[in-house]
Amino acid sequence: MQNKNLAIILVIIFTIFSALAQLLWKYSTESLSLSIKGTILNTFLVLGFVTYAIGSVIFILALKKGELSMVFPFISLSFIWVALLSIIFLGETIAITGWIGIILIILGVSFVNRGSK
Amino acid sequence: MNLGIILPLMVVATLLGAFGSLLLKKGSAEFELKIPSIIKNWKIILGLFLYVLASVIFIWLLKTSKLSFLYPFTALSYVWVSFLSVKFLGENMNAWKWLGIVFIIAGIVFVSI
Repeated sequence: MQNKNLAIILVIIFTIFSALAQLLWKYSTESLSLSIKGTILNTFLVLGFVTYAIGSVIFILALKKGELSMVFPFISLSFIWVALLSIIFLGETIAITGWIGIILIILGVSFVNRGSK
Repeated sequence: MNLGIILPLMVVATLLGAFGSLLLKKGSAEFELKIPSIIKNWKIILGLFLYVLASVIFIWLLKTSKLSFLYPFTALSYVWVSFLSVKFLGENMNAWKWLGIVFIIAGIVFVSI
């Protein structure tokens, strides 16, 4: 596989990990009940950091394979995963402006990809 | 807290993050999935540290402003990285990549509001 395509796959995987970490951190800020609050806060917080740490390694591997100015813009894709995860796991809804933004990000990333070797 | 403090701090935070990414890129060439190697990779360590510093500034600023207001400024990172890549990594920017950055920034603004 070409280095560039491998870099893209790796950075996309990173963005998924990044979104998952943010979701876990969001969970860690909520508590079910006061008595077990400390434990729940702690577990989700730690899980979030572990997830982000793994993601960071994947991101560095992506940088090994691709140019920074090509790889970095792909990070914006995490906004899309965060939006989807928020709908699925947090019961949130996305306004029309949010969907427009997601489309703009996808277009932007594809333009960067087109302009990169 | 007034904009005269918040905005410059966001510029600082995004610059730190951009320089952190630059260091991660430089350090990635020697990166190996072995702990002894990672510990000696000062570029990776410093790069991660700058990232953490940038995040700390951002999280601190969240005490003063709404996420929907601050988040769009994080898009500045993409601009800084584009310039830093050209200056320090010998990479090239072109019309497609700049157009992409513009769309991404616009997208982030729309997603945040």
